[in-house]
Amino acid sequence: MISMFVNCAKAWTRLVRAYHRVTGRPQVTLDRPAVAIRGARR
Amino acid sequence: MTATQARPAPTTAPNGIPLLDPDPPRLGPVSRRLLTRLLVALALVQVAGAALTFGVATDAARAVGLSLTLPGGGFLYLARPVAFLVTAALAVVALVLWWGLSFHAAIPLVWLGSAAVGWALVDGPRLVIDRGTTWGWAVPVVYLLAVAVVAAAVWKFERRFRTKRAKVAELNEYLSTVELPERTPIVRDPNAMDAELLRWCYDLAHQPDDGLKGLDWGEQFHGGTQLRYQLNAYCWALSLYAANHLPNAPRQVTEALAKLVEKHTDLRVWRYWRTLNLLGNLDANPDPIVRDNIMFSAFLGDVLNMYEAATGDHRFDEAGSLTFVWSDGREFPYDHHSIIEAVHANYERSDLGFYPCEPGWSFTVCNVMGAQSMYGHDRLHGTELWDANRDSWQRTLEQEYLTPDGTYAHIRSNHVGLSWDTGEVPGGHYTANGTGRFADVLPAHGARARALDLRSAGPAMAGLSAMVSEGTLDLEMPEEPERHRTRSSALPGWNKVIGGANLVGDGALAEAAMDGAARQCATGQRWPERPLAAGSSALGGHMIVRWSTPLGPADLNQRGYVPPVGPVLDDTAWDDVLVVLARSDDGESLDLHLEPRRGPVAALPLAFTNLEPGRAYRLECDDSTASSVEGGSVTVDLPEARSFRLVPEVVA
Repeated sequence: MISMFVNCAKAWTRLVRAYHRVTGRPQVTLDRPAVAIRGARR
Repeated sequence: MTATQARPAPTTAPNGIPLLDPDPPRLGPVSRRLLTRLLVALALVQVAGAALTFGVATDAARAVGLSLTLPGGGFLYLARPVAFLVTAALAVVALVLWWGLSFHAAIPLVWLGSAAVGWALVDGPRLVIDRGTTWGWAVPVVYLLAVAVVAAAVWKFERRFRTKRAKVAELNEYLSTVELPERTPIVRDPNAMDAELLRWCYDLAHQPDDGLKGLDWGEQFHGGTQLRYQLNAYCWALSLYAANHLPNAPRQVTEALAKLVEKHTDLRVWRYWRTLNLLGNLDANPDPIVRDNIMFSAFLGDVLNMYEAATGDHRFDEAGSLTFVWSDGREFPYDHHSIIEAVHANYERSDLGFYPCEPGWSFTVCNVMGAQSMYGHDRLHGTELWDANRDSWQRTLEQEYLTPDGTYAHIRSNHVGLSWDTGEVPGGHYTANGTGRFADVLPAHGARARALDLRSAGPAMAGLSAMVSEGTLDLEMPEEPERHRTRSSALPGWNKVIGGANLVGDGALAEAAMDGAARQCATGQRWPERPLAAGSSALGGHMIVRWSTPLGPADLNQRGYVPPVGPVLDDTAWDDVLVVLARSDDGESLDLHLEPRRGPVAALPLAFTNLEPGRAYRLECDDSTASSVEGGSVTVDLPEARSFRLVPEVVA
C-alpha cells in the first residue's frame, strides 16, 4: 500500500545518485571505454 | 460486474470518436482477479499476525505477529523504534527495487525479514532502554498504523477515481460535438539547423562500429540514460528525415540508418536484460528478445518497420542480420521477422493481455509500441499478426488500463494488478503514447486522444501562435531538468511547443519554435559536440518532432514503403557531400540541397536514375548557372552549400 505514496522515479534517481556518489563513478558521461562490446566471438 | 459479464460496448459519437463509459468499473476483470489474489494473501498474513499477537501472545509471538501486521511493527513492541524506522525506510527501498529492477521478493523479504529479526532480538539488548522491555501500547498503535496506511491508499485511489468519473459527462459532451481540425500536413524544407543535425547523426552512425560516442551513458534501467531509447530515437528521427526530405536520394541516409540499427546489438545496449530476467523471472537466459523486455524487442521492431518504410531496404529481413552475442559467446540470431514474431508470441502467452517490459510490469507506452511493431510488419510484409491480436489488445487497453476520463494508466503489475503514479509521467497516466499515439493501430482511439489533447493544447498553441511575429517567437524557454536530472536544458520546452504546433497543424508556429530552439540552444559546434545544448534524449526527441512533417511516425507506419517518384540521385561522392534535400514534388523535377561534408568539393559527380527515357535534363543551380545532364550524369563544383533543381528540358 505504501506504493500509493512513493514517487518511484524520483526515489530511483536518488538511489542512483547515491550509488554514484559512493562509488565515485560519473552518473552520466558522453562515452565509456569499450568492454566486451559484442561478446567474446565478435 | 464480474469477469464473466460482458460490459456494453462504448458508444461512438457521430464524429466517429468513442465516448467514455458513464459508469466505469474501478478495475478490469483481470486486474480485479489479480488484486483479489493479493488481498487474500495479505488477509492470510494478517490472520497469522493476529493469531500470534492475540492467541499465542508471548513476547516473541507478539514481536513476530505485529511485524506481520505491519512491516517492522514488532520492533515497536520490543521498544526498538530505530529498527522500526529502518524497516519503514527499507520497505520504501524494496518498493523502488520491486518497480525498478523487478525484484519481486524485495517487499516480502523486508516484511518477513523484519518478523524474523524481531523474533531473534526478543531478548537482546535495547538502545538506552532496559533489556526485556516491551511497549504494550505498540499493539493498538501498530494496528492503527496498518489501518491508516490501508485507508489512506484506498481513499487516495477512490478520490482519484471519483474525480475522473465526475468529468465523464462533460468530456462526453465535448467529445460528441468536437470537430477535429483536418490534418493538413506541413511541408517544409530543411534549413541550416536541419543540415547540422543531419550531419551530426551521420557522424554518430559512422563512428567505429563499437563506438557509442554522442550518447549519454549511465545506468540502463530507469534513469533516462538508457542507450536503447537514445538509439531508437535517432533511428526514428532519421527514418522520418529519409521519408520526408530524402525520398529521391536514399543511399546515404540508408547506410547511416543501418549503422545505427546495428548498434542495437552492442552488448552495452542490451546487457541490462539478463539482470532483470534473473531477478524478475528467475531466468538466467540473456536473450533480449524471446521473453518480456518489450521495451527492447517491440521498440526495435518498430525501428525496423520505420527503417524499411523509409528506405525500402530489406537487409534486416535476412536471417541472423541482427545477432546478439552474449559475453560467453552465446549467439542469439534475429531479424526483422523473428523479432516481430517474438513480440506476437509474448502477447499469445500473456494473461493480462499486455506483456511486460521489466518482468512483471506492463506499461501502456511499450505495449503501444508492441501493437505498432506488429501493425507495421503487417503493412510491409503482408502478415496478419496485428489482426490476430487486435481484439484482445484493445480489450486489455479498454478494460484494464483505461481510466474514466479517457487516460490510460502508465503501468500495471502482471502479478498483482496494481497501478500507481510511479512519477515517470505526469499523474501516472496519459491520453495516448507510443510514437504513433494510436493513430495507426486504433484510429478511433487516436482521434479521441487527439481531441482530448487539443482541449488543453489548442488554446495554449493559439496563444503562442498569436505571439509569432515575422516568423519569430520571441521567447526564452526556462531550462528544465532532463530525465536523468544531471543537467537542465531549454530544449525539452521547445520540443513541447513544436509537438503542440504539429498537433494543431500550425506550421508557422512550429517553424518559429524551431527557430527559437536554435536561437536559444545552438552551440555552433559539430561532432563529437552536440549542435544543440541538451541531453541526448532531448536531442533525439527534438529531431523526431522537427522531422515529423509531413509524414509522422504513424503516417509512415500506415504508408509503408513507397518507391520514389521522379528523378533519383543514385550516386555521388558520398563521403564528400551531405545530401540535405532530395525530393520531387511534381514527379518530374528534383529539388536538391547539397553541402560539402569536409570542405569545398570540386567536380562533384552526380548520377541520376529514374529519368524519363529519351528526355533531356538540365541541372539549375541557385547561383543562376545551369549544366546539361549527359547520360544521367553531371559534374558540379560545391564550394559551399548549394541548392539545385534537376528539370526536364521543355519538349519543342
